[in-house]
Amino acid sequence: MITIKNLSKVYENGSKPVKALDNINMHIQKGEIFGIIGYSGAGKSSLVRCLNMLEKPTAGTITIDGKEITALNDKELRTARRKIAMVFQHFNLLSSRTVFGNVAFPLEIAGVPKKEIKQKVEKLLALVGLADKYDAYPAQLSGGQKQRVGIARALANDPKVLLCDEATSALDPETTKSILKLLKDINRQLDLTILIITHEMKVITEICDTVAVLESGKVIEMGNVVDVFTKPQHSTTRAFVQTVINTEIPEPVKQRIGQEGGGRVIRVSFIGDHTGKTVISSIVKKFDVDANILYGNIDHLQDTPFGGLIIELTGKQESILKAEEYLAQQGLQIEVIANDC
Amino acid sequence: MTADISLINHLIEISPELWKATYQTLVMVGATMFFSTIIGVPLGVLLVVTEKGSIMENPKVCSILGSLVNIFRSVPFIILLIALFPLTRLIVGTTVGTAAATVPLVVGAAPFVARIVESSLKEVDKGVVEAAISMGARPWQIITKVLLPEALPGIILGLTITTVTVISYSAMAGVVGGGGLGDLAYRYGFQRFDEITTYAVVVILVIMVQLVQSFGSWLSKAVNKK
Repeated sequence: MITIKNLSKVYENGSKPVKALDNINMHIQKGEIFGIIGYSGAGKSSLVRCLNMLEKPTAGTITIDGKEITALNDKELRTARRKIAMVFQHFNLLSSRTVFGNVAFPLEIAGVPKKEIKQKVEKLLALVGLADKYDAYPAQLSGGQKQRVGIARALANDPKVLLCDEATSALDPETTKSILKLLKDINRQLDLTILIITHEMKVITEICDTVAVLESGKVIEMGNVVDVFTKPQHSTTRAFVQTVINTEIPEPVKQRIGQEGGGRVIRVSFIGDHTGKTVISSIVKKFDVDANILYGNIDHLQDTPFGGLIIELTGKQESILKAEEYLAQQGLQIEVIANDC
Repeated sequence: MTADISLINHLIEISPELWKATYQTLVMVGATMFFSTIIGVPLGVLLVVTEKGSIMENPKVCSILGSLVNIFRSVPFIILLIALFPLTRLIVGTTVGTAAATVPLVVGAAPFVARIVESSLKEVDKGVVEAAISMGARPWQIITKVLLPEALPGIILGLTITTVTVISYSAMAGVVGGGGLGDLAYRYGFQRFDEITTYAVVVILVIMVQLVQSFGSWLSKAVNKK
């Protein structure tokens, strides 16, 4: 749906130019929710703003739904923009218009007849769960409700792509969840391609299929969310993963590991189905070792469970090694943390 | 007692003059506000949209308009009044009378309106304009559907301030033959030492300004949905 080729953006402000985007290449599939995560200043906003040409790229091409939008003239661009909707962090609603008027706005711009506008707006407000707020002004709405209006407005012209620029960053955690759920529902109901820019890893784990990690204007890691999450390659990615899943060993457990006679401590990590298996009890039975679970956590990435156990194994060294081998054969990842035996 | 009666008698005596002058002032101010709004609002819009980085960026037009507005705003009104005699004669055919006084008033007030509209439009959230651009809005649609409606409460307040200023300028314009309350106060109060007429004029002007200001504030609040 979206193909980005060699995209660069340089800001020529003042004496030294700032390179916000450095040779970005990406492909976003139709119907997927694609997340772009990065710290502030990583270039993610510049990237999303290039996609609807709010920023003109310095180099490179962007193709959306077969149209090379970087090559369009003003008039063509205005028409193309109707199909590339955007949702903003600070909602950007018209304070002088009611909820109805705000959602009707993009339809008016597109020259849709009044009667059709009314029908369409009613349908959209029902979709985002705001049918009763028809006549309210934005000032009378909560942040979550404002964003629902923002989303309804974005969907008005039946876009092919929905760009979300930090759409949940100004909202509290509960509201964030409900807005993300709404985005996911829309994605499924309308088969709409959604691109989400965020600095919150929770947003990515909650609804994204694919993730790209941006740092200093470069894509440092990209792929399926479960893969990137469970095997982060880059330190920045790892730091983001840490914000939602605690892969650090807790301090008391660490102290215990350091103690004398602590035996061999291993970390067993699993993704997906493996969690259900009773592997720990089988190694105790099969290999005559004692397994003491020091710490464990299981998380869910959308529908995929994953997690890790920190186990202290005591017994004959030979048996322990055999037990580890067995665990590895079961498709688990083994990492030796301490070896005191 | 006798003093009171003579005061009332005097007021009754000059009341036709007072009514006439009030009417002339209202006509002058009304016409001035009508034409200054018609000229000033588009000028203010142009000042904003042609600015660098705005929706119809055109630095040349922006700086020419800006200088023009500054020139007219920097000339003291009393000088403008006299300097514009040729223009007034061209438009109205004479330099005397209420209609003739309106010309310099408009020339003085329109740039003021332009600057007030400009500053109100600049208060409009950039994000909202950006949202409209991202939806494919044309510049004209952004001006009429976003900028002006969003800035309306501020523009109304600005026009109220302008109206009050024009009321006081109209007193000066009256002196050069336009009639109105200022002229009346000048002729009776200053030239005939008739203090009562002067005070009566002042009271009427105070009431006029109060009404204008209250109405403007109320209207601005009524359209403000923020």
